[in-house]
Amino acid sequence: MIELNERLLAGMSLSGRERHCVYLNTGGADFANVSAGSGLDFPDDGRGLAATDWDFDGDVDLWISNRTAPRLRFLRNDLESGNRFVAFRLTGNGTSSNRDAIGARLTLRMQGVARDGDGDGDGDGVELIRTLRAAEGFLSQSSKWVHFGLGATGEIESLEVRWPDGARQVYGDIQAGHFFELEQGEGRVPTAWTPPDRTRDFRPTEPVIAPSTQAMRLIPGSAAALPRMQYRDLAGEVHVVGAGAESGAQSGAQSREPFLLNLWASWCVPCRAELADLARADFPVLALSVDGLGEGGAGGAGAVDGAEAARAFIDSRGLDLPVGMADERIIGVLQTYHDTVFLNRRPLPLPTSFLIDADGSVGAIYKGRVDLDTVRRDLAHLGDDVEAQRERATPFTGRWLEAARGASPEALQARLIEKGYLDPP
Amino acid sequence: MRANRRDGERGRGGYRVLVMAGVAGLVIAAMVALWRDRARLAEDLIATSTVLDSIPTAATPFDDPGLDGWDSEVLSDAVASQWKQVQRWMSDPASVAPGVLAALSADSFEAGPIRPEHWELVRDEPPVRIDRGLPGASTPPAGSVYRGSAGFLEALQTWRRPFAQGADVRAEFKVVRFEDVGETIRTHQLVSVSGTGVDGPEEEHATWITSWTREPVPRLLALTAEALERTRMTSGRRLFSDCTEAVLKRSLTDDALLGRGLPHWYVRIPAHLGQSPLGYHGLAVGDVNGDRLDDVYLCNSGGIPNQLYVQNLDGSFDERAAESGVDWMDSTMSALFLDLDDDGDQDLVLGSTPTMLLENDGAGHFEGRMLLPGPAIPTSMAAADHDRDGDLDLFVCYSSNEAAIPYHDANNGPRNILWRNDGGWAFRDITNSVGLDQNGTRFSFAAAWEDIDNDGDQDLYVANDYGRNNLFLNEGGHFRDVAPEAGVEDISAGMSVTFGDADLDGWMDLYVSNMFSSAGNRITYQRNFNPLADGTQRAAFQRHARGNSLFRNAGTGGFEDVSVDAGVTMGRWAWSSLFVDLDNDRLQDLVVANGNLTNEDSRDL
Repeated sequence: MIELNERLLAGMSLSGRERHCVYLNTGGADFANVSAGSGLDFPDDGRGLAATDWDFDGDVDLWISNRTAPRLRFLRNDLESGNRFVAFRLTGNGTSSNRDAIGARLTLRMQGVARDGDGDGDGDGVELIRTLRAAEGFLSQSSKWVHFGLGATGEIESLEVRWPDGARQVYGDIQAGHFFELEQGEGRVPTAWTPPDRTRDFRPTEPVIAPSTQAMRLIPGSAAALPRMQYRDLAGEVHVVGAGAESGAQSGAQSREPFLLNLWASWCVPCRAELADLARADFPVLALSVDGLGEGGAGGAGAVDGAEAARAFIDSRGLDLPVGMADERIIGVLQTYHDTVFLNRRPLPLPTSFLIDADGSVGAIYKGRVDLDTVRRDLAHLGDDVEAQRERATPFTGRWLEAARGASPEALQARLIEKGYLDPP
Repeated sequence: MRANRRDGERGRGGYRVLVMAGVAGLVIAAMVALWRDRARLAEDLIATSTVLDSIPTAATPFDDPGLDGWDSEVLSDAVASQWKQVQRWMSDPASVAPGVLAALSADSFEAGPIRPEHWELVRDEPPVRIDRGLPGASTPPAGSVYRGSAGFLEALQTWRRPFAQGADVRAEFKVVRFEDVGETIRTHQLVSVSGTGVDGPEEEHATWITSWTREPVPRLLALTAEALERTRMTSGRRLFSDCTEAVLKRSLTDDALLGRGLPHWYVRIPAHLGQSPLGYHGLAVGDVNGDRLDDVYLCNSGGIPNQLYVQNLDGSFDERAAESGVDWMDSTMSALFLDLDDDGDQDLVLGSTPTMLLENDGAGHFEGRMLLPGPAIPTSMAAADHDRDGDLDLFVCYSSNEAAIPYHDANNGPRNILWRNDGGWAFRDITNSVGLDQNGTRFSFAAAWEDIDNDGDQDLYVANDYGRNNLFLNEGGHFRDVAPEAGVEDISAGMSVTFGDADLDGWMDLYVSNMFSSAGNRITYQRNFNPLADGTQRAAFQRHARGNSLFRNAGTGGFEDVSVDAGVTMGRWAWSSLFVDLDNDRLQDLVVANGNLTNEDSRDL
């Protein structure tokens, strides 16, 4: 299952692109598949489903919540038939019955036709029942208006309401095509409620969903720090970055300060343009090349060739910034950090940059090319408290019940140990 | 075994299932295949990185059925690939060369009629006309009408012809049975085609019984069409139209919240804020400001605020979560509008952790009143006045990421909770004292209250994952689980409950969402599936993959499983289902919202 999780988080689907199903009752509990004709057969990952007669035109409209975009759909029922309806809104007495009248059973009796006593459900049944419910389906609650389809013919004889406390009330003189408000204990002839006039034109559309990109700026909002990582500069000298590193990113004996760790390759076109920007940055940058990685292994021929390629590119552009070579451990540590904080197992793209604080914690991850202003802005927030970090970690605003907390540093540590990037304590 | 090889809780659970069953390799392979279908496994991920971190990785691929020692799945995948070609051709005949299409069939191909000569009218009442193929109208290949590759092409053309004038032809094949008979392979598939017919939207559904050459790329030998059903929208258009953008008064294309799926956000918002790849977030319809117009509350994952769309007189909606005090960022799976204090307005219950109770001031502004503790985010909630004391009590369902043991009948989940409303915003957990702890620690996904025995009080049905469901009969405020004797245990992957009187006999019938698994169907119906298992066990496996269930309330305390006859099992990976009369003909129809995890990679695990 771990593979299942990993694959799902790497972008695979599982029973995805399935279309909703709609079954039309043709009588006698026999159903026909009308999924396509219903117009409801969207390939969304549907979750919630709620019914409401939104436009008071007597047929039931639907709201559907989705995991996929669009996250919410409103589906208008455009029924054209001679079939009629009647709808009721109930209010319990608030003492022996709950005010919402949840649990009330409505029995609508039609005139003229014999009761469907044999239970064969052939559609000539004249007793229609509904219960007012609070929630059904999955994660869903429908309207408290209780709706009855009446067919094309037949008059309503009566409505019997069995209120939640068991009291029964029979209402006569109910005309099809109306909305009635019933209050427990009040008169037996209900008054119709007049819905608002609707003149606004609501034109159907098929929402166009913009594709997601892999370019993104991530705010981890976490106290978890990167462990010490070693890298070699182009001259082959070893430097240390990350938590507990004694020197900062730049070669030499600079004091510890935040820096931007940039992963690039000489063959990566957007990386080249980005490097030229970063060379002009007014904050410390460490550009680690992945050239040669995976071609002969760490310290192998690939690494040597990689360093050559990196140097050749830097020299050819005359770029002045600290450059070094990433090895598999550095990539592994950064990937593990990313995978621990976010539900994503896709390999980090090129370029990717990590904004790393002096204590090794990560202020931001940039996938794709980043501009200097964005980094400067994020640098200013490196010392934010956990609450402020949480606010910045989502583009949305709203109120929280839960107190702010970061991702657990222990979780990152355990995962790094498990992957062999860190020795067990 | 690969999919189970893991030290994480669920993996061990799966292992135990197999060891406890004490069966051999074939069963193991079958369980893996069923399991491959189950993203429930991915629930592990709900618990964010801490859980992930306890899981060691394994590098072996597991989506290659051949590696599971289950050759049939390889062949079945090959058959499915062949159908994909037909599917592509149906949508766009120019996209598949005639030669390629013809090569899908063997020279000796034979088929009976693809459509009946006579349709039997089932219903012709606006806006839908439904016909079915007369029984026996399809003839077996012995009396075939299509022969050879040319015949195969002709059969397909015949199948497509009624839809040919539209550009929206869509075909679907679902291989649900597979039998390896040595020289050949036999498969059953549910086939559908839809598009624009003469009158408007039209669709056909059938079961095709086929045999194929037993080769890495199987070729079609014979085809018989059965159970044909045709639906025509005589109104000339589909019943529903998407007015989301119109009523919300905005384009969703660049809308960060509604125009981006949750897969967009869970790679961008840190997991510890309450992100999940599963996207279990529902909605509630209710009237927040007493104007009789239904408003909508949408639940969201952690870091994305819940939304409140308040309806205006003209029918449009404005989003007012923040000003109404309900723009909660905490991950919320469900919400309920209820008048909890009997003061005439709709209060709000939020299925978060803890569960939040918010009081409405009557004008649609909410203030937090009470927090109800629970072990996790509730999967679903349902309210009723179970003790008929005049206020609403709240039943809250829970599931968990723990291993379900045993897989097909797990009772080691968290306990669900019934909160009794004592008035004045006081609530008491009375689950055990009223008997709702019987069979009450399952992996519950949903519940609904209904008076199933017409005795005036509210009974409770709970849909559970990994095994049997509960039907709690209310006996004077005390509950007894009568699911076994009532015949509604529905041992399967229960995900939702809806009630309606489907047959108009005055008793509420029950429809339960489950998981319709093509792979599960294929494997568990094979003759050599689990030769050591007795018939009962095999039936249980088959049942698990069957799909949704419709139980007819016989009015005698018992229910009759009419799912297959009613033709409503195929709900795919089903979530919410709802009984609703879509066409006002008095009869309760069924809508099933489904689809599990769609990510950008169209390959499906």
